[in-house]
Amino acid sequence: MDLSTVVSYLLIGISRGMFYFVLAAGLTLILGVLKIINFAHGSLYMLGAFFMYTLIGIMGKGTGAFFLSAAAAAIAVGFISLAIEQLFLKHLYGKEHLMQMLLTYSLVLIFGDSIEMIWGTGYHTVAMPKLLTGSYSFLGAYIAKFYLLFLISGLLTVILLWLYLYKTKLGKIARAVATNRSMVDALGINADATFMYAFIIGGILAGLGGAIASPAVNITSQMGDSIIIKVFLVVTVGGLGNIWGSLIAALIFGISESFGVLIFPRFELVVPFVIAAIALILRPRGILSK
Amino acid sequence: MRFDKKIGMLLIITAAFLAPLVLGSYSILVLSEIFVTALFALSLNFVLGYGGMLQFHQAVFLGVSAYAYALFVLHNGSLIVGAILGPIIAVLFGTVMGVFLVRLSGIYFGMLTLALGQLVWAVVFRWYSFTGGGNGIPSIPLPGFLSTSTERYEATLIIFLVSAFLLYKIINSPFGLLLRATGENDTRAESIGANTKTIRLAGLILSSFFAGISGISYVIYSQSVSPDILYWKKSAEILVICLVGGIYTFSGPIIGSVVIVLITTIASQYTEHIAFILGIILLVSVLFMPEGIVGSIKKRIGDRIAADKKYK
Amino acid sequence: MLQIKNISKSFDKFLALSNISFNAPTGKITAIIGPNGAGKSTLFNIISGHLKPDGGKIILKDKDITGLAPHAISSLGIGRTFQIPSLFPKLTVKENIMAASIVHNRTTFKFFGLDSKSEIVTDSIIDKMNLSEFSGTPVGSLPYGVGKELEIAIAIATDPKLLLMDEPTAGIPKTEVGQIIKKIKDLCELENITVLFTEHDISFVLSIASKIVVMNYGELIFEGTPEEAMKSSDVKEIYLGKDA
Repeated sequence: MDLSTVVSYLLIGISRGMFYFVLAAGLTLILGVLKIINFAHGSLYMLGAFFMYTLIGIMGKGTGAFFLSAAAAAIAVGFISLAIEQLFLKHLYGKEHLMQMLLTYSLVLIFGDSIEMIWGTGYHTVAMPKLLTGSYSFLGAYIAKFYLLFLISGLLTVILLWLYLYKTKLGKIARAVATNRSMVDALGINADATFMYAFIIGGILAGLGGAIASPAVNITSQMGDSIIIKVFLVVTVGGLGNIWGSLIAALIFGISESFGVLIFPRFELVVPFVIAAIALILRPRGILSK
Repeated sequence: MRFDKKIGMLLIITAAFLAPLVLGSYSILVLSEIFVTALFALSLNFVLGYGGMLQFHQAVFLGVSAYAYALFVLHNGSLIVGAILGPIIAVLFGTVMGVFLVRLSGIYFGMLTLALGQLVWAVVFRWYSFTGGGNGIPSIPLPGFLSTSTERYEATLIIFLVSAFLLYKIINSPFGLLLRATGENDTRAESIGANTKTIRLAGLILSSFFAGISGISYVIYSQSVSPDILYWKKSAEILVICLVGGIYTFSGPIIGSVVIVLITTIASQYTEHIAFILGIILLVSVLFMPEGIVGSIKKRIGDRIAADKKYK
Repeated sequence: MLQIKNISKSFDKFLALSNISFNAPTGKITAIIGPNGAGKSTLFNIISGHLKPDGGKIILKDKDITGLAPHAISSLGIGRTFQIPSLFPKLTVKENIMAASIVHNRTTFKFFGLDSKSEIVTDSIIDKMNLSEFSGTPVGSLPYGVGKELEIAIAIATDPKLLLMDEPTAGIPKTEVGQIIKKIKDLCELENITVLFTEHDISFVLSIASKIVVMNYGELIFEGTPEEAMKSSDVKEIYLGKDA
């Protein structure tokens, strides 16, 4: 294993980690603020990818069309999240975790089948825009330009979330709700709007994740199933509701998966679960806890 | 009231034993599936409804037991020893996982069940040379006394009845009471002197044992195994069954299994979109009937009795 | 019975308990009084093992029990009731008491059959506490006051030598306070249980406690008999002053 191999796998790992972060950030935001485990996050991710497929079909294959479609797909998923929150979740605030979780799971079943009804059971692909084909060379290693998209999306998510949580009133309330619900209630702040926006932002991030992943994966009605568990684990290892913990956990997952492919190609699938299990056993409340 | 209940149950059990005389082989197979599913659901509800633990990945224990039997038999082991080995392996997994799980609570507990469960799934899925990987293991041999479909049906029925009886006894034992107490209020249980970690661990071990039994029952029913039986979606499916039936009652998971298996079987003759139908059922249950079918009926009867009392 | 020695505890930078020492004499009722936030609940949580102190020792008879797990402390004979009833809501009144009795009878890991001894004990406690009317009622649907009495019934089922009661009269209508006080007195005199309880209302403390400990802002201000407490200028100034 020479330096250039290590560097290229490291870079791939970091970009993969950033991609996981885009998904994990939305999930952990919802967990922290609404205290809901959102199984439907995987379905929203999948919807993002399918919307992307349809939009690209309409707008064409240009680089500009790609980015416009990605933004539109993410926003469309945001609207679907709004509908989910207003129609269903709203009625379950304060109920048992299990019920809220099963409600989101019912959406997994419904979305999975609805997607098959609309787009069929086969797989679809989205062409890579021209700007992102080819590769860069860095310290003797070659890395596909496409990974830059993950990297930039991840960084953008970090910055925007930071602005939201620390610079806006809603975000500040969201942080307060996440750490001390009863105090927020005592101060008479109406948390409903906070819940709604947190859920929409979470949905937009899931949709964005699906959109940027679309040129790299087979778009199928099952693509959400395996990713959702992985993202759950990222979020748990990071500490439920802890966005920066998720960032670190996502990078650990991405990098170790990348090297997993290199070192144990046959059992690379096992790597994230082993990491999650070890992390949860050693640091049951997340890597950043005490 | 109690007496009527006993007679009713005896009638149902007798009818179940006589069913192969009247029903065709397909219906018998569906009934077997109900018994397998119901036992599996009861094993989950033991820790979920009574123990208050968010076990998100119960399928692992059914899976490892079924795989243990299949692999043991495939390597020329005795069929009977294989059937005993299955639940033992399930208990082994349950104990090792349980030791780590009981240190956590709430959502963290649930997440660790998912991590550990998916870890087992990933190993089974990728270890082609040993487990057959994604293809699983088809046509697993069964003992000679299970050669006809009626015999296999009766085996799943008897396994279900005996296990359900044992689980019922355990839930109504001193341990069962403490398991329920721990599930409802861990801190309070500790302050009456209960060692809640050990109680929860014992609950998990017992639950994995019965899930292991249901794994053997599953092999008798399907005569094959595939990694799907220990994928997280299988676990989610059984959670749905428990919820639809009612998680705070003993019979809830059984009724849930009957309802969901029947709906799935009937609907699959007309449409491929069963998940959609199940999703709607689950959605409606969560929003309008969170106590489940059995829980809601009991509540209604309870309300009526209370109302009667008021007017007397 | 119980000795508290130099117990200190702080949360982040907030000093909740500062070097607290006193003892609760065997067979007597000792009351800890002080306004809200004086550190009474923190002290109880340390005695019962739910919190670990930063320094100091808790001695039960001659045994150092500092930092033991709550269930271990309970099995050594310290029972506890909670300020806000903290019970098993889906279980019936009888099951709530029986759970405690089973633990005490060491039949927790009996997987089949019943524990008839615990059942007898439970029935007698239900009788003694006048709870038979509610025996089969799920606790979640009980009136608040009954919940408070059930708290006491559960604590007795563990057959404690020392009973810690966190504000046993809080939230109870004035008319029912007398009943609870009588029960506490009976527990001490008839069942021979040492009682240590907290209270923020001093008037009823004077009538039953044989020893009073006064706390304020995490510090021990006074320790002595009710008569001495009445005379103490410190107590009057810092605590009674408001009412007097």
